[in-house]
Amino acid sequence: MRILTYILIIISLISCSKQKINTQNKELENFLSVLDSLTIDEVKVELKKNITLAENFINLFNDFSSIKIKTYKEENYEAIFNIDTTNIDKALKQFGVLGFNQNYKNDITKLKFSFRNNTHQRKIDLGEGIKELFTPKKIFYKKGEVKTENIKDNIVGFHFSYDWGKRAIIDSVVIDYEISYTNTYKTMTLSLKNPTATHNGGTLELIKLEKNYAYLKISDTISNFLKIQAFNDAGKALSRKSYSSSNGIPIEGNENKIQEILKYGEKIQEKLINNKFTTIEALKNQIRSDLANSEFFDTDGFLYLEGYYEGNISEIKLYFGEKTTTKKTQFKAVNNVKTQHILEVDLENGTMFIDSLGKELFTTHNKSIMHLTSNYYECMDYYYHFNSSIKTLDTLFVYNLDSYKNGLVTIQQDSKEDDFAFFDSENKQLSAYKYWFIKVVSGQLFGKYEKGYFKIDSLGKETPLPNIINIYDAKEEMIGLKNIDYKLGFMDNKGKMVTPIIYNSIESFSDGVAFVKKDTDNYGCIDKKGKMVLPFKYKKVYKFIQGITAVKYDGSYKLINKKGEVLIESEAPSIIISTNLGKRIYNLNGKKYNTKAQLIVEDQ
Amino acid sequence: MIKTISLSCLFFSLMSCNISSTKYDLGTIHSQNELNNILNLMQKNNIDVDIDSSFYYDELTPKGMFYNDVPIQKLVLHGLGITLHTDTINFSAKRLLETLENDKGFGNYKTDLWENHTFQWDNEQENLKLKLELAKGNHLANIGEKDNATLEITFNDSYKIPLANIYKQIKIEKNNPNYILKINSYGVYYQVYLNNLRIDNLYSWISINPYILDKGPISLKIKVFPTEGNTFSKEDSFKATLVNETTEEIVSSIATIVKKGGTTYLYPISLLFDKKSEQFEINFTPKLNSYPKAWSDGVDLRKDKKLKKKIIALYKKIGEFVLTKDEQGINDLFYTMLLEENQVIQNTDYKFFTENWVQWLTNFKNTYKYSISENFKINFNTTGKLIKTIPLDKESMLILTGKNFNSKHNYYLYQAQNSSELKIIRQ
Repeated sequence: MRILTYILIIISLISCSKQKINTQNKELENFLSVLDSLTIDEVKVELKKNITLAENFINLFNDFSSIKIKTYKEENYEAIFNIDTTNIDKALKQFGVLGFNQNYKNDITKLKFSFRNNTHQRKIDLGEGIKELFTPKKIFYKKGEVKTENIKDNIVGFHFSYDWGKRAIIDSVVIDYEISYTNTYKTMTLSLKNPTATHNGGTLELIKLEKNYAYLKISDTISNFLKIQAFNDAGKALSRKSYSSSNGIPIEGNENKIQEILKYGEKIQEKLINNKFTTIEALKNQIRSDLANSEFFDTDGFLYLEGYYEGNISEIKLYFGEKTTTKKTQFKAVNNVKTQHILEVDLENGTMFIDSLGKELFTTHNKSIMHLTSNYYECMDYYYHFNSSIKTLDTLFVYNLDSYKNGLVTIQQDSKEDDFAFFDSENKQLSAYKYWFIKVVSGQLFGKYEKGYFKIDSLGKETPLPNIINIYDAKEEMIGLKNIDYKLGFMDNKGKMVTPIIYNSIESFSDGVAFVKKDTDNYGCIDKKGKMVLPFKYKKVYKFIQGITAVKYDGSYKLINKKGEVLIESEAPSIIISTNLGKRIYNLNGKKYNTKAQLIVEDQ
Repeated sequence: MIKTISLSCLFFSLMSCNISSTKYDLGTIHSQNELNNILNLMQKNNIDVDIDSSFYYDELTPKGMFYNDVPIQKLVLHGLGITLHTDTINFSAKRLLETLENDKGFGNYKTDLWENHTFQWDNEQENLKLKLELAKGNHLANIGEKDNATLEITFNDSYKIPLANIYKQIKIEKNNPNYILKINSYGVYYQVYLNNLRIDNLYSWISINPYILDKGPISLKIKVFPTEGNTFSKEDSFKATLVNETTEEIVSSIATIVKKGGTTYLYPISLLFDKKSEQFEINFTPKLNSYPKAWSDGVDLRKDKKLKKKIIALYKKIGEFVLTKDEQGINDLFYTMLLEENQVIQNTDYKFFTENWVQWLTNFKNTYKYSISENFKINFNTTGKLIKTIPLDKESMLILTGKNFNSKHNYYLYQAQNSSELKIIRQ
């Protein structure tokens, strides 16, 4: 796969990257230095295996490039560029409960961040025109050391693990969180009538505009624009079909450039097969000689852009930020696993276990072992428990083991029909094998057997939930319960009942409130403490989003806020609710309103 | 769409200029080993080109490939075998069909949703699927000079263990009746008894032959119970018919008519809805060409005081054989049963026996412990020679367990006159 990476590096230089290459020799030498770790035979094998994959990649690229210039009869539109700052303050407060999972790859620590008390919580998406920056400031290691130097480039990843330095258990990290957004921006418009413009000393040029296709050339010095959009003659923003950019090499007329690179790879391969290179250095010299003066590197100081849109283009607009505001906060993320006595280190061919000081305890060879919870582990074929007193990994010969975030596990002994029993982190059995199934709702454990539903605490102790016949996730860390009379109520994620079980119907929580029905066919609204915030008077309701929603009463729909104040009065007997880029749009009698109850002017 | 262009394909095309006289007869390939031999030969003639048959998809196009003298343009290696592509000249598709029919007889013919024509030939070594794509018209008679064909060949794993090869031992007897009890029911469950021994039934077609040892008469009894509630509801229905599957004749309509409120209904039949259970019984005289030995020479086990220990010992033996991956041990325990069961229904389907053995190999691979029921009820047949146990403390008499894997076992057992151990005789 490494050679493929090299090929893709070259491709990225000419076609994908928007970053300017300053020193082409440095880039070339960086590229060539990766070859140092390979033998000629290894290069042969790698190149043969991966040129095929590179061909596939290029074919895929060709397929994208082959999108035709054409006239659209039915156009598709997107929202006109707008910077929505409504979530910024909420985002600044979102990391109060941030945690991370730590694992190792050889001698390197890897961290992946997540919200600790609710598995469903996701980082707030701030939308276009708003940038976030995470800067690690301090790392607190378990053995007492605090590191502040050379850590600012560590990546705070929420989807993947990233390197966080040496192998040692980390207790917590302090991170600066910065949000910067553009308050004002300037719009530059290019069209066939006005194909050129200047901005901040740089130039913009519309080289070609035909039907759904636009091709532009922009000075590198002003290539940091916020967004580019194409508009039809009615002023509607067109959806983009495909988009590519290139530093240094004009795209149009150079479609075969990438294929040339592949051909170059095949030429090198042919020489390798014919044993033209006896050493890696000879290979490097050949590549150095071939590519030193090539067009693969940016030389002309321009960025080239081309785009195909789903409509007929009249003009192109580029948005340049003018004034930027920055807001900062700092938060502490803590290790999700506190009670763990050992940590596993992934090796190429096995797993090494280390103690809290980073000292090797033992290594399992030919077997990759993954952590489940507390002292429980698994590999492809077995479950394990780490015996913390004698520091051994014991195999658990059981049919199934399910792990939970509070460190408990449930075990089925022999087969999938077996009942479940709870065990603690020391593999001590906490309950009989009696549970038919276990439900995890908003982080709270529930078990069911013939006596009904039970809430299970972190010690495995069960609390009966009399007459409960079903349990639901009511969202926002709330739990819905249904009893034998089909009445409903809410519990919080700490297991505390926040309402009696009296409702005929309940909706999920959103924006901290939930609609419920009680004695009549009308909805009212309660908060997370069970307090009524809106009376039972609404015939039809939708969940609150960003503080407003649509409700129907007195024969027509209105937009209201969480105080029940009517923001938009209407006589509409019905409503159309749609979403655009994840934001709700209310359509009342043909008038569209956004999530701030503002009228949307279509031809704006 | 991603177009896959194999680099090796390009190289074979280049290399093949020099070796056009080389002939690779792909019609001789019937196993992975034989394929590997041909690939080795191709590689020998094409130095510097690697062939990766472990890769999921690799295309080879050396000149000189034939399937029984029909030129093959492209050979594709895939996980389970190969696919051969003919050229679109010289009636190659038609010729490939003809040569296959000459070799293997008429294949199983189908047309698919896209009106492609497929022919299939299956045997214990390989499965061949020929697909014809006609350029002109959809009728097979239109097959012409420029049509091409693809022949997909998948190789079947073969096993030397006798248990996987029982199909070779099955003797075909003409006109041997195959008695099947067919049941249609709604809202009820039922128990089937042959000579007072309950027959486990997972399906609504129950093969009777394996339980017939002589000309009888055989007692066939069915007890029917409501699935919900204490008595049958008006919607519950039940129908049972004993048929000879060989001749498709009804031997006996055991429960075809039941009166409901004074009215006689044909199927679907409602049971008397005030009753808690219903029982149907017939005696019939089977007419098999031959009868299995089965448990006929067994001893009466009803007074055997060590019976419980013997039962546990037998299941323990199976469990230990699995843990130690003792293929011969498993073969010896199950061979007679599998041979008899399939002889009486004349089952020669090699897939059935291969799959049965693969299941044991899966058990060997995945099992890390076994558990045996210690609290079970023993049911005897009318002679006391055949027993079946009903576990009361477990889902089955023997459970093989691995990580997220379980396999359950419970068999009919007997003890031969000259033995002190139980043997497995039916499942």
